[in-house]
Amino acid sequence: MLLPIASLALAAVCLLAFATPRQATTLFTPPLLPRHQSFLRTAGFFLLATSFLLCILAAHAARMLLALTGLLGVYAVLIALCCTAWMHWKKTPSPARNITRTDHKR
Amino acid sequence: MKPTFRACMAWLHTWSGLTMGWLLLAMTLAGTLSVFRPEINTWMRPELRTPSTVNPDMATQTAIQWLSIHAAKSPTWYLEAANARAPYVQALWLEGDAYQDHALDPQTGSPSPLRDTRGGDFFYRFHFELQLPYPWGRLIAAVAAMALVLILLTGIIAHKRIFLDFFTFRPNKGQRSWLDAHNLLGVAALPFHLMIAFTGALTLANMLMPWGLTTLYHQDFSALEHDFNPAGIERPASGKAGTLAPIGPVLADINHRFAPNRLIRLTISNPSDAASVIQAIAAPSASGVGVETHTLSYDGTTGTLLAEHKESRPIMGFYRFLYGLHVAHFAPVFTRWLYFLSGLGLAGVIATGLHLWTSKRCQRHRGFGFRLVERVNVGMIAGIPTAFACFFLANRLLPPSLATRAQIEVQTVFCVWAILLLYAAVRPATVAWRDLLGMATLACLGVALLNGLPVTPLQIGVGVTALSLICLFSYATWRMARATKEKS
Amino acid sequence: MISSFALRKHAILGITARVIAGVGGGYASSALLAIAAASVLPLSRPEAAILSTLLALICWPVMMILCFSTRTAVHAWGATIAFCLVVGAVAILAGWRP
Repeated sequence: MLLPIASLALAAVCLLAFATPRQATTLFTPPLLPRHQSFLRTAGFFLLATSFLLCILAAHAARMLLALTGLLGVYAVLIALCCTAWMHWKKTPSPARNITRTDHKR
Repeated sequence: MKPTFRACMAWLHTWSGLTMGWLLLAMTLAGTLSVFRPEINTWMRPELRTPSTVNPDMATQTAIQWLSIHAAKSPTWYLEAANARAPYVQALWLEGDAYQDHALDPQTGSPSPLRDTRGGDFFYRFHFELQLPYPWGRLIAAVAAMALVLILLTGIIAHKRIFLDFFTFRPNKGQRSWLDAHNLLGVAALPFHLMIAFTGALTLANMLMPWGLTTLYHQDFSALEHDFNPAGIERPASGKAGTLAPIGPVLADINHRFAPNRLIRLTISNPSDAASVIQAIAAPSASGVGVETHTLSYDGTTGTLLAEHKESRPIMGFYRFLYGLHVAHFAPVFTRWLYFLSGLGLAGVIATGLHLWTSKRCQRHRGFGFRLVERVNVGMIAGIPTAFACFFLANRLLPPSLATRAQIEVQTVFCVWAILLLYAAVRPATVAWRDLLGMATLACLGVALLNGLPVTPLQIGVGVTALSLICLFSYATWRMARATKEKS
Repeated sequence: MISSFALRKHAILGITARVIAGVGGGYASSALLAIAAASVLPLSRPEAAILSTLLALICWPVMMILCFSTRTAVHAWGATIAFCLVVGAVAILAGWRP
């Protein structure tokens, strides 16, 4: 039971991360529009609520809820670091990406 | 004070964080290691056989047989039953004036096949007793726990963009990065941090805030004991000698009544007296979190059941639930590792917070206060992990038959800590950071090497943790070495 | 003209007063709250004792926050003393004698 809930929670945290204004504007080109952000945010919270509900309905509800709460924290840190890495990758273009760019002088 | 409420709370957060930070860092690291207290106990006693071959009831029987011969005069024996995580019986008993606390070999019931060591219990006791005599260590720890609650609350209030900055971490931007790290680690595991701080204070509440109890019970300790432990039988020693009934049938009855939960603790009062009492406490049930929710009491000499209690009172149950949240006996493996990671996260919050205090002020006038904090920070943030790692090193490097090795292991921790603090006090900060982080790396490397090839799950756990810490500390050392080269 | 030194001294005095109000006065407030709650709550003895302890543990940090959010240190002391008096009165009315 923990695996489906963990996957749902991971998807939820990802959606919520993308919907955060700073990440929505810096990670995506073009930046996500505010209405897209709020849609992603709603979807993220919906998945989060679903994962909590599944914990309550599962056997050993209390233990599942505690494990989920702890897991969400781990996800938050990992996703934040992934967002940082993504931004870093976007800012430092790789050689392959250079070839497709037409706006720099030769 | 400051013009806005938020600014006042930020000020309070900074100063309460600074004054209590070093103590809280030590308590947090020791407490985090305590999550794996039985595992560390086992690791530090390599003479123990693998857990799967240990029968908990047999281990308890041999332990009681040994104690009947060697600790007959003691007024109480406290035994923690063996289980899959802990293939030994942890026994505590009073001998004269001093408490004896030893792991008993499951085969012979004697402590002598196992090397004398405090094991994981050192970290466990340190994090709420601080190596100080009763009651001072506990009182200080309780006040520190309350301070942590305050620091967390003021931090939440002061954090302006708590939702907008939730996933923000911008590295290599100096003070900005440290603040991002402090906020990220703090907010991501905020439920854990608040819970562990509040429940930690709660476990020491009978010392810190006993006024509710004293108002209702005045000095009536036996009524208090009876209300909190309804199945407890307080019987004074009759003075007549008596022998304990064969423990096998008693254990069988205990297991039958506790099923499917296992026995976690046995307390035998006045074991050599005719009025002896055996009290048994069950582990939390498969879905439960609370501690001591099911207890039994047996007459010691006849083995007949005297009392049974299953907690059904809602507020008592809630109290046991909160206590259980802190000690995490309920936690299955996955949750235990989450507790461990979150505890390291809290240590990271405290460490980054302490570092932020200096990095915010390093451009201003660097008075005595600044230099003091800067240097103690190094000694604490890099020194405590090194000192704790040396505890593991001492355990494997000291000869197993050395008589006072348990004390020497503990003294190693404090000696190493003191030396590192002194070194950090006399050397410039960047150099001290590089050197102490390097020592931390070496100490963790030593633990990984002494751990041996990771064959058993325990060795894998220790190995993975040590390796992760090696990566963390070596990266930090490399960064500080680069910073030192740039400065010179 | 108030010298900057006098201003600093005034600030330090204010902070010290707030710290004592928050730590000492806050502890006294929490203790009195525990006593009042224990005396007033219509629960069995152990349950009332536990609930009042929980309330007291929450009260202490909150009082500390209060003492650092008032406009002046005098206000902080005033709020703390007022709280102690109210809660103490409840306790005494419920039968507690110090």
